[in-house]
Amino acid sequence: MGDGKINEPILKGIIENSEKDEKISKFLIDLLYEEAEHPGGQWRWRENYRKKIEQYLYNEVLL
Amino acid sequence: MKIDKIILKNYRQFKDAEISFKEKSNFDLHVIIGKNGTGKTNILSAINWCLYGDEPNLSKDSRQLPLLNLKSMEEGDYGEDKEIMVEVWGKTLNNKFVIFTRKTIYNIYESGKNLPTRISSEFEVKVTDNKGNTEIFKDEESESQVERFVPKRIREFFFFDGERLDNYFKEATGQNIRHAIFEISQIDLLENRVESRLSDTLKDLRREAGKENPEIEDTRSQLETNEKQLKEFDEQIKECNKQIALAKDKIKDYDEKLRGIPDIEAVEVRRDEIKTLKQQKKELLDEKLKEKENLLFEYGKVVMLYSPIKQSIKIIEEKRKKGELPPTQDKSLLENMVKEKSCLICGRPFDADVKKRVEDLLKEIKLSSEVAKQLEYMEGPLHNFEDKVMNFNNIMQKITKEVKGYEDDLADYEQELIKIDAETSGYNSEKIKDWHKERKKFEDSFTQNLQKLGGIDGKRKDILKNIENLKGQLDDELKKEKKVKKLKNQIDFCTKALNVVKKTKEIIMSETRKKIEDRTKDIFFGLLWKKATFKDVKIEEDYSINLIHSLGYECLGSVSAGERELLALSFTLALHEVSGFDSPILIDTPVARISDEHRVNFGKIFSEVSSNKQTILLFTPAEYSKDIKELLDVRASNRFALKLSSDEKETRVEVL
Repeated sequence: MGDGKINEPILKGIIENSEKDEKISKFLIDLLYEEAEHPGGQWRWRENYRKKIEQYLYNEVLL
Repeated sequence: MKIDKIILKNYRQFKDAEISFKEKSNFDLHVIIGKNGTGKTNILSAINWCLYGDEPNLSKDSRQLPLLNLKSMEEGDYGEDKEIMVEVWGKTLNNKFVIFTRKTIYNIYESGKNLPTRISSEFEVKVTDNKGNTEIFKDEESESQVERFVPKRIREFFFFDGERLDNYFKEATGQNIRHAIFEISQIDLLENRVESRLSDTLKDLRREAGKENPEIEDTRSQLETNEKQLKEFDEQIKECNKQIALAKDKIKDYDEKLRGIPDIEAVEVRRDEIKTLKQQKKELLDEKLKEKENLLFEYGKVVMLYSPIKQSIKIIEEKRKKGELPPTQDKSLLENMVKEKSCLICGRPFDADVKKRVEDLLKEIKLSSEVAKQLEYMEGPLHNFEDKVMNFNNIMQKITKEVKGYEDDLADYEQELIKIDAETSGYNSEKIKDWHKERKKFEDSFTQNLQKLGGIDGKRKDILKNIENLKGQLDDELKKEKKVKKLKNQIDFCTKALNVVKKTKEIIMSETRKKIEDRTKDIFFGLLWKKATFKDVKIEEDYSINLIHSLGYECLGSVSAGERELLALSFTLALHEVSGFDSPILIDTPVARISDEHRVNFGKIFSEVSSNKQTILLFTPAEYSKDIKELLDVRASNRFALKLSSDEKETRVEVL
């Protein structure tokens, strides 16, 4: 929304509530940006969510 | 996103116009001044038409006019195609340039006579990133781009008509305000996208694990059933809350409508009651009057003779006092003695002296004894009459008192009926009765939903407990099954992520509501001219907005149009500020309903807002009063005047 921008309070909230688990916070922020990039909600989210879980869980994404 | 410029071609009054909103000072403030009918509102409409393909702010009359510029129509030849185009150029915070272009081709039948016919339409969005790469989106994709930059669902929070601000809280229910807060603060993105999809992903992962082990599948299936049930309860709770909020709003609306108007139905019930009571009292009164009449007839003679009776009794009493009653000698005995010439008691014959003394005595007592006897005989009946008169007096007093009471009651009833007639005259009774009925309906709905909510809440708690137990059980089973180790890790990761999303959402929801409430209050009280009248601004749990009077009651329904407009504007500005939503704010006729002396307050707040948000204001010359002009002229980055051509078919935009 507003050019795929995520509001500051949401980003801060995700980081704080992840309790220093960077895998979780970065995974969620990634999802948020991805969702914001698809405002109509029409994208292949099911496989992308699964893919991202594996990527972040097994450190395939640089943290 | 900021609006860089708008280009209008053949759109309504604008045959060929361009309005640039480049920021030239510390205030991203842009002022457009135009008389009524010059096309001020059409600028707002042009933006809506370009981005969303509709013109919600146009009046019915304006909507009937052709979209194609009249001058262009006149200049066109028979059968010629004319293009209407509106372009909105925008720039985002991360330096992306976006151009929204909507074009419609019209064919002219016969110049100036028939309305042109629409041939084709297209909408395109061109996005250029900060490296110069350009992407062009058409059809559904272009609409998706609009949603990304300026979502249609919440456009009323950035492009709106100031004159409608007064109605803002009538039209925006708590649910709508909640929706706006959720959208602008992106709680919606968190809840309806990430949370919902993570939840579905978690279900998929568990289902896969279930395929490996029947025990896991059984627990998973139970868990899913319980979660489905929980979701249903949550939906029901949401619906109940929606109905409660709606009922509250409607009750408030009807209270406002019915303020000062009598409850006709209740009044009519009372009127019927009074009429029945009046009839009953009238019958009782008639009965008593009849009783009184009978009494007078029965006691009339006695009452009329009361004075002689009283006098007779007095005479008898006096005679008794004198010892005349009862008589001391027996007259007939004395007469017999005179006749026999001897004492009939002792038998001694009378001598001449005794005879003379007895004869003298007889003469003396002859008359008084008769009277005394008569009087003695009368005494009893006379006392009876006296008692009767006394009794008559008592009964008469009682009846008179009762008659007076009935007459007083009847007079009171008559007064009340006159009062009711005066109260209800001039009102449309049927309409008022309908309002009361409707209000009652919503009151019942409010109570029913509140009760229903209590019931669901209890069941929900039980289901939550079950879910926690089943989750623990599933976790144990997953730990035991080596084949699902990888899936277990993914389930754990997904569960943790989901919990973080839920927790964040809850915190953001509560904080956002509080922040918007605080900021609305700050802005409102900063602008308010009657500072002592109000005490607080509240955004309730159900997101309805309330203004609290200094005496403590909710008074949003009874405040002036200007105060309501001020609150609506304060809320909108707070929503923008707290959410950090990157959008312009455009207000048509921002101070139309604000009295002159208060316009300067609005001018100040617009200046303040424009220091960090693009603010476009469309004024009539009358609105742009001297005070506002002095304040905004020096701050505005751009000022434009709309000038209508002499033939009134084209508006030119002049830079001031």
